[in-house]
Amino acid sequence: MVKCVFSTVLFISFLINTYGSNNPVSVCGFVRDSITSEPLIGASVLLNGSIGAVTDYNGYFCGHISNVGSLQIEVSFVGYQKRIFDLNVFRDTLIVFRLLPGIGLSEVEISGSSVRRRDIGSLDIPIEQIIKMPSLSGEPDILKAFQMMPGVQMGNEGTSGIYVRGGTPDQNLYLLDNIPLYNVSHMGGFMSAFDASSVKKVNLYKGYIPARYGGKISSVLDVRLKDGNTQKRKQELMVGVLASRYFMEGPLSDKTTYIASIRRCNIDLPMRLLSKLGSDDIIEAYTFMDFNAKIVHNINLNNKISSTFYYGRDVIISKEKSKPSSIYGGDNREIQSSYKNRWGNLVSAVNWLHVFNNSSTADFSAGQSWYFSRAKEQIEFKSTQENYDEYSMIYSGISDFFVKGDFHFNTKKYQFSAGLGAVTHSFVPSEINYDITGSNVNIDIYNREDVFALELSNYYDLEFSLGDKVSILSGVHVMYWPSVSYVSAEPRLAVHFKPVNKLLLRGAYTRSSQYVHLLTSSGSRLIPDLWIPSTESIKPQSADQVNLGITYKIHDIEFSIDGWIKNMNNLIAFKPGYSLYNLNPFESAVETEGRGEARGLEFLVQKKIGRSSGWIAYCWSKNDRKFDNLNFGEVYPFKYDRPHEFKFVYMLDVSDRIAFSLSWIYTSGNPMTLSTKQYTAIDLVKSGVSSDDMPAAHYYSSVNNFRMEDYHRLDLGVDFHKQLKKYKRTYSLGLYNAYNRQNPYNYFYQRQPDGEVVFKRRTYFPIIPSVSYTLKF
Amino acid sequence: MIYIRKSSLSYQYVVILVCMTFFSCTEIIPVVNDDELDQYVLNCLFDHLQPIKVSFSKTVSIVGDNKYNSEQDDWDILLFENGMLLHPEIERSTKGYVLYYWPKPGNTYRIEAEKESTGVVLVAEDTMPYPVEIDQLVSYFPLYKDYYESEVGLVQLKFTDPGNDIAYYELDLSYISVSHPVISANSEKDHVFYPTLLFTNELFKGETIELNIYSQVARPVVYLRSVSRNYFFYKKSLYGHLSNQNIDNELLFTTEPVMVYSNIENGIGVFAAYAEYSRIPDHVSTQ
Repeated sequence: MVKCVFSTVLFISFLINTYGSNNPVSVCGFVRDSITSEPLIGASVLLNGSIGAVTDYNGYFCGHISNVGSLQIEVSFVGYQKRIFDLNVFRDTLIVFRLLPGIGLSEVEISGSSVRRRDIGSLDIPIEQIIKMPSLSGEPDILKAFQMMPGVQMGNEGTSGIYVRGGTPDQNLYLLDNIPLYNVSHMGGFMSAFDASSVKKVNLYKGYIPARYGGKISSVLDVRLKDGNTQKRKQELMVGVLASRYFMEGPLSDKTTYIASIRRCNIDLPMRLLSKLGSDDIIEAYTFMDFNAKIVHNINLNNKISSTFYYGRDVIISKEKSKPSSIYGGDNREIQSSYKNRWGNLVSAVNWLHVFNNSSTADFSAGQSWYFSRAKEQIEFKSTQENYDEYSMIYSGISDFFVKGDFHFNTKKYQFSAGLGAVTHSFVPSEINYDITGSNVNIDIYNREDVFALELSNYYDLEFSLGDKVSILSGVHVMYWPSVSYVSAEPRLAVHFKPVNKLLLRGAYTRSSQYVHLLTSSGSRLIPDLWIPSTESIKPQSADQVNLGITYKIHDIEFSIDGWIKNMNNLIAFKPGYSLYNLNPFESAVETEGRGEARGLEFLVQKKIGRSSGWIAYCWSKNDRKFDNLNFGEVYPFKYDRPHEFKFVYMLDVSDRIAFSLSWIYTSGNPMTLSTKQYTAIDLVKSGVSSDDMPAAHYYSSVNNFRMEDYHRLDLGVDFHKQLKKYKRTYSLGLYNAYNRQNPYNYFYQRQPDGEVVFKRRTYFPIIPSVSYTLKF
Repeated sequence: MIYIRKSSLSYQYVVILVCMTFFSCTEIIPVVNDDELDQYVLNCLFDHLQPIKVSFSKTVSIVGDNKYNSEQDDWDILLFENGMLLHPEIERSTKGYVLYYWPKPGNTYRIEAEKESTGVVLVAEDTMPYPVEIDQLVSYFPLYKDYYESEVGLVQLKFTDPGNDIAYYELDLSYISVSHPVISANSEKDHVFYPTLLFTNELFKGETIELNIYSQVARPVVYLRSVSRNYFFYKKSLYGHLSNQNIDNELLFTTEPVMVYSNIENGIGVFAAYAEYSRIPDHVSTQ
């Protein structure tokens, strides 16, 4: 690994020296919004009608021309007016282009010597579309929007975790301005942690994953926050049923901008009120909040420093005062208890973008990411016989500190990136503090399990074209886990072939590894996440994915078909019968070395622009698992194996003042392990327990033997905009599950008072109307 | 410690469920997507001290009040010992069939049961282990009173593992807790309640093992069984399964269900052997 790092540094130095000065004339620069000066990510830049480039996450592009002199530059971006600039270029040039926002303009596809760099399997939903889409309670939800795409599945009803091409939510790398996030959901998964008002761009990589991303085996969700308006302060206030939020952005000085947003869940307010009305002695409440902040300082055209901060947490509070009746503890018993559980993320990072010259740039980042879950319970007991104070606390978490550097080199034919990174992971699978002090008892217990792990990585990404029609994306991501000396080298390769202008054939292979794992229980995300490291017995997960795709574009409508196969190794799962109750040590509760095989065929017809936009998606997939000690070693369907998924999203700007949106989803039911038959079992116990009292055993033919009913749901939304003198206001009305489909969350049996056992279906989220009010000023 | 965690987490589930109750509803529905085929069941746990008793039944729907009447079925039973067909006297009772043959430790037994007029043949095989004697058994009672004012004593048990291949054991006595590097259990705090102690000799092969067992019974009868692999896996999975049952447990979705082990071909159930040694401890009064 040390050799690898050393060679990387040498190689980077070589490239800076070599390509920094000997290229043909380069024309590089930034593309920004002309009103807010926000960098535009993914904008197309065409030099002399043939040489193309696409802006990166900083809005930066670089192209090379052979001959000096007059140059025509065409800059375009979805939702912005295309602009053509005529320049005279005699030497390397760095320039800033500004585009005016416009509606209904056509997207420009760069043709010629460079095929448009659309990463294979990458999904991009414009944030404007995400905000328009109907959602639960009117609050835009980024993850739920991606759940409507082919190859991306939702978990149980209402949850916002995403299952990408046979993977699990912990196998997705969630990045917020390049900072990894461990917990991306609120309310046990019913809403994602990303506040759409502060987000500029979201990309989901589910097929070809560029080598700059590593550490997770399923997908990458790259979320970029806005930089902030350079011209004037802008504010947005939204009050909704489920949540309210406030967003502001603006300049701090000529070179410095900021954004800040805060979002808070409102449902604790009626809960507190209901608790108060029900009984003064019981208070139960739940809420969550998010806070995003970012400061960007443009030192000059060659240097930009930004700092990002995010804090999000969920809280459950319960307080109770009671006088229980019990045979123990004496008379006049009185108990006061309070319970509080907080879980969430606290992340922050500093980033420095440096442009060495027109051919080479660098990004340096340092920061931290902390996921925490802490539950505290205090009980005060009083009676005539005894008094005691009991305190218990359980904590579980993971804290990362990271530093990384990314180097980018652009030549006429090649685009090369390399990077180094180091992460220190501090895991606390469990910390328990229990203290009871009283008249008859005095116990003080403290246990904490700390696991420390270092992760080193580096990567190389190379993009180049072969002639006019073939473009190659390749790379390798290397990871090293010193504590148990695991090393993984993950090659990545994608080939784009564009035989005619409107047609793109794609093929890709991605290998990826994952050293940090999430232990979850079946069917529910209501319990705290438990992150665990790779150890001697828990090996790093790995996945190999092959993807073939074809895209054809007619006018503004894009037709895509993607076929893929993904094989996963060293998967983990809870052992049957184990849960967070009884995992001490954690390795004893883990089934290891599982294998997974997923394959699928995705169809997508998408219209991104125009007054009416949306998409139709269908995915057929098969997703299996195999563990030596589960299901008697036989293959079984994964709990989110859904053979058929059909999704339809439609958005229409009826006029400048009214926008309508509709989405409909249909999926096959989830498999689950559920018995429908029982039988008489036999036991042999002679020491006091009668085998005659033994309940019947349930018969399971296999793991996940039962398939839930199919899931389908229609959501509707309509926005009424009005530009007033000083502000723009929007009323949003929504209808979630418009035809009140009783979609199953789970099934269970229940014994009735008369002894009869009945079968029950639990449903969340019947038809839910929503209303929200937004002010922009 | 486990108790503390269980308490707090359960509390959390309840609060979350209360929150979600605002949106949730449950309703009784007919069982959907029930495409499981019914299975015939053969149950038999046999030892060397009594004839073999076999019972038959069939799976029934969980909902309603269904019970399977085993008397409506007739079975033709063949019993083999080390591959040789035996001809024991077979008697039918209300609970099944009694095969008047006393198995011998070390031998392998195979049963083939054919249900008349259906062609269904249930087949299973198991090898009977050798019994292992208890070397020493002493009860000290009472030692102390627990939180509920019940008297608790200590049973000291010593036995020697023969040290052959992997061996499986079951200790059947009324216990509160056992604290031992290899075998530990706590009837009040363990997530899964095992009425008996099930363990293997992997960590004490060929050694003498001494257990301190806390019990509320002054002179509990102790049954030490050396059991077959089939017996061991069946009972381990059975107790895990029963403590994780889907009826009357709305929080089941916190754990994966445990499937009951079966070694019956073409059906389900168990055909497993054990060899039992029982003894009453010597009593040492501590009063």
